[in-house]
Amino acid sequence: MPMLEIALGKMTEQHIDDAHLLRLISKGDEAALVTLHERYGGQLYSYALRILKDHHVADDVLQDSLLVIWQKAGTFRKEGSVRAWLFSIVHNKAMKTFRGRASSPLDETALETIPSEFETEESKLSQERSSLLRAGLDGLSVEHRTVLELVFYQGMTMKEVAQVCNVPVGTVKSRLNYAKNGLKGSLSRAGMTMEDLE
Amino acid sequence: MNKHEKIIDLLPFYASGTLSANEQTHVKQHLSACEECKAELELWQGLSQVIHSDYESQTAPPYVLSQALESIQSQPVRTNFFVKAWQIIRSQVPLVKKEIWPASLLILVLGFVVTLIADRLAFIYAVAPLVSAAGLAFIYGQEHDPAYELTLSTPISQIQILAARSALVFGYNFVIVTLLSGGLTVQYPADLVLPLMLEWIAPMTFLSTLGLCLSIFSNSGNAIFVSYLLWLGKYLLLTSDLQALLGQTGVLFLSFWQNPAALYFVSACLLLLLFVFVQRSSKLSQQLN
Repeated sequence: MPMLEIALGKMTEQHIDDAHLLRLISKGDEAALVTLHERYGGQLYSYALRILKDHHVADDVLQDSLLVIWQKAGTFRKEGSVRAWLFSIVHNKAMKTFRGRASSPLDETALETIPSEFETEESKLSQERSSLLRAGLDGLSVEHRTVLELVFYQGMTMKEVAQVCNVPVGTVKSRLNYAKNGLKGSLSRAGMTMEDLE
Repeated sequence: MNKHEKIIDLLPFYASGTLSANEQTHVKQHLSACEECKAELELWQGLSQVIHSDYESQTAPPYVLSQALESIQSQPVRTNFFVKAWQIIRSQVPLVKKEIWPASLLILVLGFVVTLIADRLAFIYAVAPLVSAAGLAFIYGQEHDPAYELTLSTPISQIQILAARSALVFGYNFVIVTLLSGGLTVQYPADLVLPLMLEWIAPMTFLSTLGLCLSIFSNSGNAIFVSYLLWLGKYLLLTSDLQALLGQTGVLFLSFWQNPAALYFVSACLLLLLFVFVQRSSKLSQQLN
């Protein structure tokens, strides 16, 4: 009666940890999937959107990912974090879709739909410096950008990033190193050094 | 890798605040004395700010979840493996030839009685594999199955049906012989009955599998004939001069029967072969239909 457990409030949302939610999902509890979506749906959707830059495709990726979560919840092992496991599912789906779409032209109007807090954050960094870093970031491959996003936006540890991207920890380090060198290159081409960021 | 290189690897995570307290202390100490790492940290911090300013958390449209739930609800209900196996086995009970149940029971009980009267403990263990082989030779296929056409059109795979029926008939015989063995311990010491019982499981498995295979590849008559011949051959070799006539072949034949690992291995191979055959035939008949 897992659905009843939630419905009757025997276990409030705060008391149900993520791993327990996955156990309930593996037993066919739809309410647990809804709770998990409430917790992580926004983060997962944002992540897919950052990779794909298209709301409609991100919708499909999240929907497919929810189905995978439903089917594979029973395979989750406690060694890793639930959050990293969820992100790894969305990551795989989004990257597969991204590679499938790589040959087709990018939908520029879709890109415009992604909101930005560009203006509000400009006070923190000068426009020139942030533009350079942004340009350097955009010049990176999707594999390198996703690692940076998982580290800095999603606040994941090195192990979690490796789990999400399904790569060894050493590859995470080398991707970060490659990204760093790429950003340094962007700065130096514009005649700036890292000290200028201060 | 020296300490400086290790710290360089940790800097992005220091900037994002995901290091452990211990790692943070190490990085902090190193940063106070290393200008290169300080500069690198500033790059990561600048990048972190850019990423945070550019990325806004989005809310997934509500229809994404509702469509996912719709898809989930349209999927067949998930059932536990054991529950599903039990349901398939139960569904096959009325489709297995009804005569198998009383006939097997009767012969095994007779074997039990003869064992007690003749005071030959091994007798029941000589009869049981034959009963099981005969039972399995009559469980599957067009010539025995009044509902064969029906089973072909069910969503349950033919392999599952075959496995369920085999488990059903084999399990039935197994349970009866085990119960009768329990009854034998009233007259015979348990340490005499138990080894014989353990010896009996392997040949019973092999003969049952062989009977099943031959009934499908050939027919039930041939399946019973060959299985019985092989089993009787074992006793003839043990109790007559036939072994001297057959020489090395006879020794090999007997050692096969006395080697449970070999019996189980051959049984497993036969089952695998059978499942492949049934799967292919099932696909072929579906294509023809």
